Amino acid sequence: MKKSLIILLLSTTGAFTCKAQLIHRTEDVKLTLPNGTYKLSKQQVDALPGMKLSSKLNQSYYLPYNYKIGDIYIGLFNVNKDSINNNLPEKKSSHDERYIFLRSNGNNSYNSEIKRMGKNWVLLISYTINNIGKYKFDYQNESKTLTQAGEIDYPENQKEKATALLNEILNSIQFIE
Amino acid sequence: MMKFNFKKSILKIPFFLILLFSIIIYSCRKGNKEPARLPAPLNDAKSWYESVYPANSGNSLQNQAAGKSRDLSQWIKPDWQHPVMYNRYGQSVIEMPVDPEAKFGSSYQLNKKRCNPAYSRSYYLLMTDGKKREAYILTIIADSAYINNDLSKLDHNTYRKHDPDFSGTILYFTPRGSYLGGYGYRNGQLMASGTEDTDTNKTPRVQNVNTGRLIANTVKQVCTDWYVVYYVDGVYQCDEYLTTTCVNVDDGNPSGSGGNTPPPPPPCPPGMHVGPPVTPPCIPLAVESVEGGNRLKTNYVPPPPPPGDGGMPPPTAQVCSVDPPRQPCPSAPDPCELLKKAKQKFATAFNTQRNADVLAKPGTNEYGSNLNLTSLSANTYMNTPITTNGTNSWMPNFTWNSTNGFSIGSVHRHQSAGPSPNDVFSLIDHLSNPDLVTSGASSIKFYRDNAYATIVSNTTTYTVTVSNWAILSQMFLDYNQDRNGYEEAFQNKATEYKNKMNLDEASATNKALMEIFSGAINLYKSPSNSTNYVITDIDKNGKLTITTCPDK
Repeated sequence: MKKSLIILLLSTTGAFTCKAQLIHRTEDVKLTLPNGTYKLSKQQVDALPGMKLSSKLNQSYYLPYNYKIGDIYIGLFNVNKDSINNNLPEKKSSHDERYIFLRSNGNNSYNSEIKRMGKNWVLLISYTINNIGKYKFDYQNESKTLTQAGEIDYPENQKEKATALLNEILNSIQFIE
Repeated sequence: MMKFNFKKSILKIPFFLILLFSIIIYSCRKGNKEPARLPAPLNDAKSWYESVYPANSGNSLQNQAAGKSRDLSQWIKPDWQHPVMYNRYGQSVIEMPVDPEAKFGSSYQLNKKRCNPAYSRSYYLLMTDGKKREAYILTIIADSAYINNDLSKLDHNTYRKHDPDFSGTILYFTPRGSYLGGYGYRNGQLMASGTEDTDTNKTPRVQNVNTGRLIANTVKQVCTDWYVVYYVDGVYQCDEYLTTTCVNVDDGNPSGSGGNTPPPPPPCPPGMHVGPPVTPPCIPLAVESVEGGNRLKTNYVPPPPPPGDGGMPPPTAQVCSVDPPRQPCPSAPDPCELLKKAKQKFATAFNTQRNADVLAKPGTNEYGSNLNLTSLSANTYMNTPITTNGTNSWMPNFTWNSTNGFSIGSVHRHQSAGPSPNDVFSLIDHLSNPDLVTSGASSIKFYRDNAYATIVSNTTTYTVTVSNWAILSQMFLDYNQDRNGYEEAFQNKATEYKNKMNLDEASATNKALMEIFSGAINLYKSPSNSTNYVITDIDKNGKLTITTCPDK
């Protein structure tokens, strides 16, 4: 009787936990998003501040998968397979060049680095623009055949929370090879 | 004990009389209203002011023609005996009240309601950065609620400082009486500017914005005519129309600034705006104009950032201009003919060599060079230097004179990306260069017809020219609202194309660029060290297209 109760309790807790965490899964990747994350519709993405481009562009900049947790936006691209852009050092230098405009306009927040995460690599770009902090990442498997790109936009004063979130996401990425 | 010597004392009397007489004479001379000697900086400023604004007798305020700005310099002058000198915004400022001799007073009138001139103070501001002097008249008009029967509060507000709860309006004029612009304060905070009314119909207009199912929501636009009113010894002398501002009123409640203080008037009269003229986009053939009708202009003009030092925002020498009328669009020219003509300027032997030299610079920093014609009639370039701005973007050094040359183009290096919005907008940014502006319409036309920006990368040479200055002018306004945001949006779009469409860096940035600028610019590209240019554009399905011309 006691054993049955424990099993029941554990399975209930497990079911609750599973329900609280959102799993992002495609045929190439699986990653876990933290408690409280919810998926955004295209209309909700369009309504996000800063997502509309110049009036000359009639479509928003949006990624295929969009989530939100509190005030923090998480966007994920599809996994790139055998991309011509799979050279992370090259990608880093091209980003460094393309974002020179920030420094030229007096914004010194831009930073980029390539880090090892276990056997995998990640190119991490960060900067702040108009009080919105940005993390952009390209997480790549060891053989450089699969790259999961994404970004996190957060209110400037929530950097700590956003950084923890970023690490949680990066650590949970599992390529399905 | 001391003895009194009468004889000796009598002899001293004439001496005392002479001394007394001298003192009296000296005192009389001193009281002969001779102005005290001014310190050197003030004396210099006074000499400058009196040479630029000489007082001509017989040209009193009342004698001046109505309908034009009253020349205040013929009526009032600074009180040179009561200057306050300080530095602000990198300028030496001499702040002086108006000479009380004129018994001058000014205030404003909103429609038919005149404000109490007793709540107003005017100051002369003479400013210099060490090279150039400017003079302004600052009129501070406080709200009655702020004054609250204590006129001494007026003294708390000058160019240098204002009360933390100051409510009222400040207006800047030139000494000749031209209105330069104004700012409104409520409880010490700068207010948003009033919306300029560009409609010549001055009756209040009404627009039904929305008729919802439950409540009919009516928005009215209420306009206010602004006048400056002049007084002598508190007695009305004359008034002068400044401008008209409008606010939206929703069901009787102001939707904008609201409250007792009206929004300050914009610096330019109706139909004009600050800055150089903006050419509106042409009217496409067979396309109905979206303009016209009873449309309301409701652009919100945000308040300027507070100066941060407790003082008032500085005056600016505003230049008001009228936009030219919209013209029908000309029929599209042959793009290959355009390329052929443009190549005569950007694909000369000098260009090819200079492009190669820029590309050959060591390291990864951006290097670049201005491409300056020796004259407008020649097709030869000056030997300008190749420069870098270190780890920042390369910045062109535009010149438009016969000594340094006529900068119709520039070349700079990217590692792999194509041109960015910043590269495109630099072409239009140069249009405000003072040397070009003052060189006249034919020079400006020459620049517009020939301007280009070349970007060299390891594999490709790109050259951008402008195909429609009117469209680019409109986009430039958008860009200037938030340059970093605009550039970031462009970079995001390029990243999106790289990730979603597996495009390389050059193609992704080209596609993003033409998605934004198609119809405003021409984008030509060729392999590095070649002049075999092709035309890059985007089709109606959003796909990048390449057009190869017969004679390339």
